[in-house]
Amino acid sequence: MVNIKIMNMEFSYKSSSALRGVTFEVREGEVVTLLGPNGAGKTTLLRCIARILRPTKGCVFIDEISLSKISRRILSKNVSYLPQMDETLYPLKVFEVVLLGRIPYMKIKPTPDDIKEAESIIRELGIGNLKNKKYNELSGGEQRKVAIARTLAQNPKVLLLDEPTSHLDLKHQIEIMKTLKSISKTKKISVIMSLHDINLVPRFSDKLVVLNKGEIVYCGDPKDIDIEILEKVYEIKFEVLYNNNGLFYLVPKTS
Amino acid sequence: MTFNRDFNRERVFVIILSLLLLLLFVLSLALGTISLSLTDIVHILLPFYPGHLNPIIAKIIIDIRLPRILMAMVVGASLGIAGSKLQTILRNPLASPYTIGIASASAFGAALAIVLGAGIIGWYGTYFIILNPYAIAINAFTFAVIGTIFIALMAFRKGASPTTIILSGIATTFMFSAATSLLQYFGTSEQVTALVFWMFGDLGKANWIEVEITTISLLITFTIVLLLTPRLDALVLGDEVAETLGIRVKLCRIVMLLLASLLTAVPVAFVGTIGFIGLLAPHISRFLVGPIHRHLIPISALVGAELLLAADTASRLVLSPLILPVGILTAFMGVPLFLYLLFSRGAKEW
Repeated sequence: MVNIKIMNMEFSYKSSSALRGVTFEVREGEVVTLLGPNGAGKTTLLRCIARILRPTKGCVFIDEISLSKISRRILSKNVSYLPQMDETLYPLKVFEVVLLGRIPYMKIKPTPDDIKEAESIIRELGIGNLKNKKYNELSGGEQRKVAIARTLAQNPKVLLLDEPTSHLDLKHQIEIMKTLKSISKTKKISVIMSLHDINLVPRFSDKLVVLNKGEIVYCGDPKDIDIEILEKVYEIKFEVLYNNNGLFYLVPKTS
Repeated sequence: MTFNRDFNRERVFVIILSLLLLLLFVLSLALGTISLSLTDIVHILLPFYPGHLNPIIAKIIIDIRLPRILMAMVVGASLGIAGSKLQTILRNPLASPYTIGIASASAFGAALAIVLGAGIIGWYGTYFIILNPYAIAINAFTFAVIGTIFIALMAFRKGASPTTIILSGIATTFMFSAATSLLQYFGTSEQVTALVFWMFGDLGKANWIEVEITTISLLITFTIVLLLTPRLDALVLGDEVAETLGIRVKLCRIVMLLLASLLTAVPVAFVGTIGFIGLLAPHISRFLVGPIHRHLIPISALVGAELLLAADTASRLVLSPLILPVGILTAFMGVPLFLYLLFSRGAKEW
């Protein structure tokens, strides 16, 4: 079943075009990765889907409903977004950060159901030990997990993540990716995320969308991608290695 | 459970701070050039209390001390709430109700009334001002509103970012300060003295009608702000996240700015500029109960009320029988407290 459909999306920053004719579909519970060099349009695309930016053309449908036709509050119950840099102005506790994800459902204060939901997500993500700690005192990996927990507290159908593994060491990168993969399958949430680490893609993504200068140059199974496309997009040569499961690793050639 | 523990912690602080406020209230009523006994105070506060009260003492309490003390509490609470909101919507812990230029705009309005004898609806002689004690307050309030509308329009045009609002506030401050200086330059020494005294901030000007107006303004804005606290919380996570939590950030920021302006403009119009409360109260409150606004806003109101009441009581006692303008005391008392908070170990916690 198709969950989210992006149709012919275009966006321009004043004179420069950032997205051109972007079209693809994401099925329920599918993990889609956006790849591309800096400035390819990955963040702009995620922001357009989240309606932080208004696309100049095209639209997004979730279950056949156009996102431009629903209120911001209803949108926030369907789509949640994790920015590249997650900031808190004042030091909130981990539990408070996660509970703020329930704001779309709150009137003045959280109900017992909101608290139960936040508690349950914290347990699911295995961050119960951090619950009473200050968010700004956590390590980068822990902060990312808490921020993901906050997005999940919105109970979304679509999860948009802008570089969820940025600034993380290898162990935390793998942990986050495993968590996202598992959540997408168990909760039937469609995940669209941008990444810079090409080698994570074939292991954790169901679909790969490669963007270059605002246009899609590849959309399909990550395992089937022609490496030449990536070499052209990134303007470097790769050495291709395969593991026992037939998954590729790309190592940039430095000379 | 964290939520319940925090909820209880907040309740405990509300009770402790309310008791402290009550204590300060009684002390402030009792202390002054003429010290009053607890029985005198009880006589006034409980009309059915048996016995007879000296009419001079009754007059001191009802006409002089009570309006002054209530005004201190209401103005302090207003500035505390306004400061808390502004530090969040402007994403700046240094923000205070005066960052957005309201004090300068009000001062210009007051200067216009004092120096030129001009009301907002026309030109009047000095005689009119003497007859109409509200000309200064009306002018001060009107120009505070004009300043606020100017900032709101500028902010709205440029996406209501915190930087735009702060810069518009700075521009407003300089514009009205320059205009006030010009009026001072051409004013007589009596007029300049009156204006300088107005700008000090003095609760001695307060009467019952002013207390009522300021209280109504506080109650209305406090209720609205309490209803909007989840939106303020969302802004703590940044504009992008707030948008995706269903908040219309631009509209929210402008509404909060207008409410903060109202919370500042009404007290300033009646008692002049009282600094530091709006900066300090939110910091103390965040230190006590953290940054979640449904806890922070009521606590900021209580802390603001206490700070100003304590400063006002001190201003009446330090050089008694001389009464210092409270605006001077708030800065003298506030700076060491602020520095203590900043450099204490607990500063990491808020």
